[in-house]
Amino acid sequence: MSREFNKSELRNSLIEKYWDYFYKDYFLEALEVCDDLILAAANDSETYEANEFKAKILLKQGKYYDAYDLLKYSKKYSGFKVFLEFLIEGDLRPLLTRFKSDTSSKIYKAFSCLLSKVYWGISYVEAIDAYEDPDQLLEEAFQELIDEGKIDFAILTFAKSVEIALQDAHLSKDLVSVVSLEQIDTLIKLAEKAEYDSTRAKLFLLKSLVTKDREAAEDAEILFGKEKNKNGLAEVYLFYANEFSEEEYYSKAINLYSQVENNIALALINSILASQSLINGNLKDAQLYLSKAKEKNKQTSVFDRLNVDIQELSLLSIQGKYDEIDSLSKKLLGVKVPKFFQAQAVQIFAGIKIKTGGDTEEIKEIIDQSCEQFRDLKRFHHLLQAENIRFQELLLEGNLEDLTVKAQEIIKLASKLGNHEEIASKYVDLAYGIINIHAKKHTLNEENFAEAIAYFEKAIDLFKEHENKLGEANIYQAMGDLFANIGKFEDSLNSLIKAKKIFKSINANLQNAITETLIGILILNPAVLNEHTYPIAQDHLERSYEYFANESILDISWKTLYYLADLNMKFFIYKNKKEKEYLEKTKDYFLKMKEAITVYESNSMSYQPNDIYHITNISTEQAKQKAFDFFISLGDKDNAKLFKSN
Amino acid sequence: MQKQKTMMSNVNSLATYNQCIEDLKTQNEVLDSEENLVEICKANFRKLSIVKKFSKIDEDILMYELSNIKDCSADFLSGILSFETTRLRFKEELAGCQENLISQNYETL
Repeated sequence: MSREFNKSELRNSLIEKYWDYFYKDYFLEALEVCDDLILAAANDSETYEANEFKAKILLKQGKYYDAYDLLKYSKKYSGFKVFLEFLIEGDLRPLLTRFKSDTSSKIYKAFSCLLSKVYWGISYVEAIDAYEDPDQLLEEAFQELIDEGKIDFAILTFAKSVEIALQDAHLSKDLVSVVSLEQIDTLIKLAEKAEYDSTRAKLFLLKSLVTKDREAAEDAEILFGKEKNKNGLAEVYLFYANEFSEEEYYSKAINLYSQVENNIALALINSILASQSLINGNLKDAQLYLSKAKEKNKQTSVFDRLNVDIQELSLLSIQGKYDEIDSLSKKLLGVKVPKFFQAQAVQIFAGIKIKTGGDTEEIKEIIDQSCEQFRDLKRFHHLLQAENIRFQELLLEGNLEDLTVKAQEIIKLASKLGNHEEIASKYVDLAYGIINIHAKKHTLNEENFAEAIAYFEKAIDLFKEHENKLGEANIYQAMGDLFANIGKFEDSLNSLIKAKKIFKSINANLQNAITETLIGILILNPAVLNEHTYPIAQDHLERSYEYFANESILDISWKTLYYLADLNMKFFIYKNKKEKEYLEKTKDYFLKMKEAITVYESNSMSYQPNDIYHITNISTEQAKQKAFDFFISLGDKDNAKLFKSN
Repeated sequence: MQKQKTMMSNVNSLATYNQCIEDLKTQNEVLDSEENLVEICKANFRKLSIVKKFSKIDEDILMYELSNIKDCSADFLSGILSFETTRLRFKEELAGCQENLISQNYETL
């Protein structure tokens, strides 16, 4: 009897210790206690309970499959197990009826519904049998937890629901934020009765997320520090890094997350760093961070993994690795993939089709499908991007009236979302559309040119107002490109130089390299090329080629070599064909271009030219033909052969 | 036909949103009289649920405007006005503000 009593006493003290570690996020210590509990278990039920305790910690660490392996063979029901299955599989339809009505099942059922709404859309979730209003379930569970004296658990449940509401508020952030803040403040008051400082700290951190107030985050830091909660501290550091651009905190967060083996958070940081690298044009870094994110993401939820897949798809699209895109897109368009990810994959795919000169009707169909899905999901930021691709497609069609209506729609949507960048970029696109469409129809006159310039100016003013240097420089670049196309070379050069200066000052490397290429291409024009401008073009193109090659940006890489060859050929002619060094340079660049095209083609779908961006306005076939003709004119049949496949 | 359908659905939406305003008033009354923190938390939580439901108004305004981007008719403008007035009333209730902002809104428009 006494031995049995001791066993039960030991078990209770271990369970008490477990919850203590659980709330303080001491993952490794909690896992050790779980192993002791498994050893001390007297029957199947106790073993299952100990395994579920362990699985809950593994879930916090992002080791979902390990967690599920511990529970899947047992016939015992738990809401947590169904929730875990949902996170791994992603589709709630076959699972929802399995949730029972105990307190924890109510919580897991509610969160499964809330997450499904985000990824599958409201109509999909509400149509499932056994659907119940998640807020109703959470309110009931909250009261039951309070009645059981589980104050910390009750508070954290409500805090999580506030967090999801904030993330899901797209158009109505102002309304949701007001009530969320009231709720967080009430929960902070209630947390005076909570057992753990970490519970209060989590509320302060949530508050700082709403108010963007560093002071509240500092309160969280103190409280987490008091309890030596490394995971919590890492969360605060990540907040400092993300919200206040205090980048030194990324490494501090990584260090602490690594110590507690929080793979979800480590994957998230790497994914953030990959996005930043992508924006800065450091594609190799982006690839490196992305592979780290994928490594850490291996065992997380299907939603986390799909998020990284989408990021990878964007990277591949920028790199022009179309074969890899094809297989990844197929995976992302699978039946079991939630609508939110399918829509994003379709959107990226449509962008690529436009870039590679795909069939207009097919593009229209694809992009309409993506827009429809985003509308249904109420994902307006994504809808905005998809509508932009539709706009590009209309630009190709050349219908100025439809284009203006679509631009108005996009500007309206962007205004509602408070996205000044998008409004500005639409002004630029309209300017581009007006000039290009009129130029094609030979109806370009001073009046519509002035109309276009007015749109550019509107966009520049908007960016200046928001102190958005990158946006401002992008407009100068677009103006430079456009002016060159209609023969206004001096205006073009002035705009490109303005763009280059700004890009350089903010380390926007990819954009800077593209601008340098555009300057080089501009100088290729016989009206501009001379002894003074040749070295400028040569330097600019060489520098940008070096950058594109280093970053493995395959399509622009071979094109830059093409322009280098073209530049030297033209300068050789300019020098009355007397200075052979330019001829030799032309040869070298064409041969180098051949190698670059081979690498590009081994990674790409077939490519056809389109006229959206001047820089992409050449196909591999055209480039090869030019090189072939060049070598034939020199009587160099051997090298000429290299450029003919048959 | 499509336009009629949109108008009908807007009328239904407005009825739902007016109900949201009434529900919000009820929760605000609870909050005014309640001292128990747990009950205050629950009332705030219900307010958050109402806000989430009401947020659909923003989506409806946007959809309405996007699908009628070239329409400047009186029907269209009064549709927008009804939506935005309802939003204003909701925001007023949310902030617990008793001033009548609606008439001011009409004057501005």
